Amino acid sequence: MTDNLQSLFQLRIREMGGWCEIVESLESVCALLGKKYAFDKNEIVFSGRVTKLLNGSKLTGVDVESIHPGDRREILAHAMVGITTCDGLIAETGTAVLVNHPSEPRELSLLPERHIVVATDDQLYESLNACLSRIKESYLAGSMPSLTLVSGPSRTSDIEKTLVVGVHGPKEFGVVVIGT
Amino acid sequence: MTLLRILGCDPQYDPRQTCCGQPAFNAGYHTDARLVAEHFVEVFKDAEEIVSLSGSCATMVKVFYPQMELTGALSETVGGITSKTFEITDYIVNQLGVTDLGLTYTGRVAYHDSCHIMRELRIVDEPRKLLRSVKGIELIELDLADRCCGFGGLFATKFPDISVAMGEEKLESIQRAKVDLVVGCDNSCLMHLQGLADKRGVNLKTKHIIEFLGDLIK
Amino acid sequence: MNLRASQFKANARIAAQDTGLRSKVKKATGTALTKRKQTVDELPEWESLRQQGHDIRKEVVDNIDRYLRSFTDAARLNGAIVHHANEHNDATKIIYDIIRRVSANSVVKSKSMITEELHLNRMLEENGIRVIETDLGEYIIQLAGETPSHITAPALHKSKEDIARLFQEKLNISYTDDPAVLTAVVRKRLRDEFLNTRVGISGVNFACADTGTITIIENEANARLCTVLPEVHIAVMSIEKIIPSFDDLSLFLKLLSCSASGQRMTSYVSMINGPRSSHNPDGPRQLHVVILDGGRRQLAKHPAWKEALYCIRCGACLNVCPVYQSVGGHVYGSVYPGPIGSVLTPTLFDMKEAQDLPFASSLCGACTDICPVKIDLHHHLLWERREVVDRGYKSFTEKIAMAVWRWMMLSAGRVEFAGRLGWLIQKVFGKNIPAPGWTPRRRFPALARRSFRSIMKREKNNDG
Repeated sequence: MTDNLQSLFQLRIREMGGWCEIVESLESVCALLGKKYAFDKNEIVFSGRVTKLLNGSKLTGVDVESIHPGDRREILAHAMVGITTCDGLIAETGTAVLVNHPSEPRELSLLPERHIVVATDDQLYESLNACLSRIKESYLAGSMPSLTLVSGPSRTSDIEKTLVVGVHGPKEFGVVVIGT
Repeated sequence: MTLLRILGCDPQYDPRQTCCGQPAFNAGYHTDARLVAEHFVEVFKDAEEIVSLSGSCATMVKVFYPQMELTGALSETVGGITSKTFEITDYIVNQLGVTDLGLTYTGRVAYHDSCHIMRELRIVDEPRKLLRSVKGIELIELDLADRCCGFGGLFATKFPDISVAMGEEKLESIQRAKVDLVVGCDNSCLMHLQGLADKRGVNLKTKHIIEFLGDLIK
Repeated sequence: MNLRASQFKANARIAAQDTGLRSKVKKATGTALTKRKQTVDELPEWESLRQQGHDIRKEVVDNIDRYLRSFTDAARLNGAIVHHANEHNDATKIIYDIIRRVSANSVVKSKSMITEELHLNRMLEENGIRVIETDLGEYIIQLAGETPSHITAPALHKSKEDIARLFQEKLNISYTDDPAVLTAVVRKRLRDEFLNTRVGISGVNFACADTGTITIIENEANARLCTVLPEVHIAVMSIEKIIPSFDDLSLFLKLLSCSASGQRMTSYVSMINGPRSSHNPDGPRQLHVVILDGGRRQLAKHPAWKEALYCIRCGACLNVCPVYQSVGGHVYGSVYPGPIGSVLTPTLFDMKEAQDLPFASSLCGACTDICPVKIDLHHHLLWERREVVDRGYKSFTEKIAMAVWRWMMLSAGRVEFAGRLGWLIQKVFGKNIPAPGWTPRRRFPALARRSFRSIMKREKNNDG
């Protein structure tokens, strides 16, 4: 079942112009991203949740929490890669569900040139409905944070219905799933 | 008539009949439409079955009569009228159970879906079945098969420019299909397309499906 | 052109003959329809999703007051400031006051049909507030000083060459008609505006009555930038944007994405649950939700026309409509063009002004078939025609003509006589006598000498 969901997720995310790689270990995540993005350390920013997930494995870049809040927006606006975790992957639509989190500000998935999600295969849901119900259940009324669903890079077809990728948001969207 | 007799029916024509009332209904004149509809119900109330050569008129009776405020005894008759009225290809295929008339024709023919037949009565396959049963026929599907030709009753005269623009699109689709003949179940669409083609000097022949099949019998 | 609904006939006549416009609109709508069909064809449950969508929208419109109260309470609990506006002017004033209170002199704005309905930009600009439209299509339209011609693709009537010339003239860049380059120009220009503007205005696609969630769908990320970066976010919606529950979102996201752009899900969906707070670590410090009635509560009471309020603004009925494809959106003279516009404009705004719109349809029914919430669009047009007639808006000549027609149709003899008269006229004057509205571009068919009726009569007499 998980295999089916994984391949469906990969298919859907590719249809939307994103990519998905499945790796086996935390080290492979760092190796994959390190190889893919040979930018300066300061041009790669990841969230505190990513740091926690990688559990000591070394990823080139800076933790957004180590940046002074006053400089944060400026740095993110010039970053080449923003790396976040997520709270669910939706196979039927190729979507990553991001819940607003103190160590993972929404600017991180919005301002950098690229947005990469690091997730685990137990976060895969077949349908959006299942994932959203789970999230809703875990908060009391009036305390649910804001959510962002990301299913691809920023795109437009406003000029003669010609698809152009990278309008106002990230030009690239990728998901690395840690699984077996 | 000949076709129906061959199929074993005994068709009757009541000369008192006029119109189903659709022109007024579509124009918003529901009182006028109602009076004409009541005339229709009066004429046809004793018929066993009512078969219409126009899908649009059949739509008027089957779909819109029940929604009209007919008066008196006629309002009770209307339910019966509605259920015994049929568009002719629907009648032949689904009531008489005939799909093969054993006819022969050589040529490329396109079937034109009239909107009322396709979307109100949901009759899509019936005429195609009858046409496909004709030996030697090459039945072509138009690339804009489900698109309105732009006739639309009074629409064609109220907004002639839009109607013609829509007709031109359809005509181009027909030309792309390179057919000798366009067959339909509603003469009004065919009249619009034929008139447009004639004016533009486009070589197009249109025929009502029953006229087409009937001619093959002769 | 005087773009008012009352001028539809005249404007449509010009537009229908503009083959350049027609080919642009045809190309864009055709692409949209093909993509939609590909996606929908892969969803075997589509018909049942449409029915569910219809039922839920009906439930909301039938109980609009209850859902409005519930949404308001839930949004307030989330920390949003909720404003109710009865009239259009009330809404614009509320929005203006919010901007004034924080001493802002510009706003970034994402696409919103309701702000078009409010003519918000004009009002704000008149009061010295610069409005920066950030959706690419809206940016183009704003630059050209026009209004959107489509609900979801506002610049659909412009070719890339049109846009290239516009950018060359207004932005002082060298001519290029490469959509990627044109898009990059806009990205670069708007980045700083997003980072530095203190107020963001957005529309709302769905507002959940149980959780107070405001949902905005998009592909470009401009709505995210407008709703995450500024200090103040003003979300503008009309009352019928409410859906009962957060649990209904996945259904409506699917219906809307598929119908609008043929996507299973748009690139981004923002579900906003309040301003920055203990549970929302970033985002604007103030979230205002401005909810417009604008005649909708009244419309919700009408047994048939309330259906127009089920609309989720996907634009599919525009794409599929052969009339829209032939004339584009501007000639409708309404914020809402196409079939849904022809249903909504006379009933929500002004039936006398928009009396031609219900007639501007061949009643082909393609709109009803494509509507993701199963609004019976083309039948509503029929009933609205009746209303236009009943209110006496039609000309005396037309009424007389209809009475004559009725008089004829009530007697077979009179029909027979008219047929023979027609045949005689053709015989005497030839087939090319002009019939206004028909013959200028279509030939009139030859009338038969003997009617079917007389043939049948003779046949019967011979038998007898």
